[in-house]
Amino acid sequence: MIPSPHNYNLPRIKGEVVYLVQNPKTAYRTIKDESVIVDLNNSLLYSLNPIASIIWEMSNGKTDIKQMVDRVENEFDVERSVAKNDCMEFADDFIQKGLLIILEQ
Amino acid sequence: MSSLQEKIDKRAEQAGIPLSVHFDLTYRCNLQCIHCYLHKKDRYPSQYYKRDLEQQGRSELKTQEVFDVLDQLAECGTLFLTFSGGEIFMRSDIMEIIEYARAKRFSLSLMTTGTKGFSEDIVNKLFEIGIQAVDMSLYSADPETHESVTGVPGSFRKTMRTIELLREKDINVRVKCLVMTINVDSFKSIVELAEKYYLGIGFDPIVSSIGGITDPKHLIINDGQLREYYKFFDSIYNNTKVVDETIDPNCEDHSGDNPCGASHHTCYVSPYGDIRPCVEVPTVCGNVRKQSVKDIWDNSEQMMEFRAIKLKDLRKCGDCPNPDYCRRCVGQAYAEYGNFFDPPTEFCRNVKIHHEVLQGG
Repeated sequence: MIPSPHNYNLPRIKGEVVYLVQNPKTAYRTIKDESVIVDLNNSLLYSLNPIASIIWEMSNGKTDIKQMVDRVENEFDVERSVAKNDCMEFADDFIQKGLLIILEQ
Repeated sequence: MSSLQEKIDKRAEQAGIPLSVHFDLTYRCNLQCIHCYLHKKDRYPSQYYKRDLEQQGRSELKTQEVFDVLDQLAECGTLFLTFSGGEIFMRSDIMEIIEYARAKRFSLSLMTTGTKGFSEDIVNKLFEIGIQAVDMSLYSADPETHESVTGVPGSFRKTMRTIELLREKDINVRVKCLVMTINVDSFKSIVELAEKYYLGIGFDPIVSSIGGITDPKHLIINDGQLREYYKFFDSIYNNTKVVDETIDPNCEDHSGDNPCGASHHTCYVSPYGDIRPCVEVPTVCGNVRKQSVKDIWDNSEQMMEFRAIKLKDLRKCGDCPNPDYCRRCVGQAYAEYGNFFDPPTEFCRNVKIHHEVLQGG
């Protein structure tokens, strides 16, 4: 069987004041500046680029997306609109895959 | 293995990270498997043996010591962790250790006989904690044949009950079957069982000759039986979730230079705290009671010497026409020849016959 990501038709992110947490049924490590995540529900492996790794690392329930966008904007020296788009897109994708969970929005 | 896994292994090797670790938590066991490579004195330690180990500072790692090793492995970047033994549920602190490992966000697999310690409550707890997979040995779908290997009546029923409980919670279960003379007619029945319960399967026709098993010859299947095994295996390979154990993800190396992943992105920790490149390699590179894991991994002379072995150094293997079929093992080479460089007889025989079968022979 080829494992498929979960797709629960979960809520989508509505703005930047959103708090996310990592699904506890994941495993991960960061190798240099790229994170590797294992979804323990289906054994799927994900390798995140540096921006996605920041989102993942900051999804601790205490940091909202706005703060993530701030960090990406500064660390990667990109336009805020680009940083925001990247952060929202990544976060939403991983919510739909069941890897991140919306704690509060 | 997925190409993403290969890339991650490669990245870990370049970053100098022991990405995958096999951690034997105990050598004690409640079964008496005829092919087991562990020494009997370790599997069934007497009070006197335990006292001797204690006096030598070589007793089984205590709970807090295990936690400390796990802290260090997480710090080093280890992601894939396998707990094995012996039988891990012989340890009364096993659930504490499993919870601690998951709190450190390891991707954790458990190797167990499934015959001790499993109840609905324990399985529910494992489900809540999140386990990547539970690996169990199953030698036949026939209880009598299975128990002629394990040496313990009733062990088949217990293993099957554990499989049922785990699958009811949709926990990944992989059954490992060593194909020997004693169960050579059983691998087909195991595939049927695996399809019924939706299990992963790992077959292995190579009987380990390391450690406690002094003469495995009487367990090794003959050429004709091996040919039949490969014909069957190849006929089902693409149709079930069969994983060829002769291509073990932890052993594969993809740099093209290394014989396998041992010491490059994988290593082994013994119940007494010894760190070795692999469970099959006897070279002790250091002990966690005397050195940090990182120091042993980065700086141990024995680890660096082992790491320096390249495919081109192996006699015959560098010129082998069929390397893709082979899970070449330097540990098995050492057990047979006392060096890492000569090709283990059984691996060459398996490659030759598998290749012939694929050519229509």
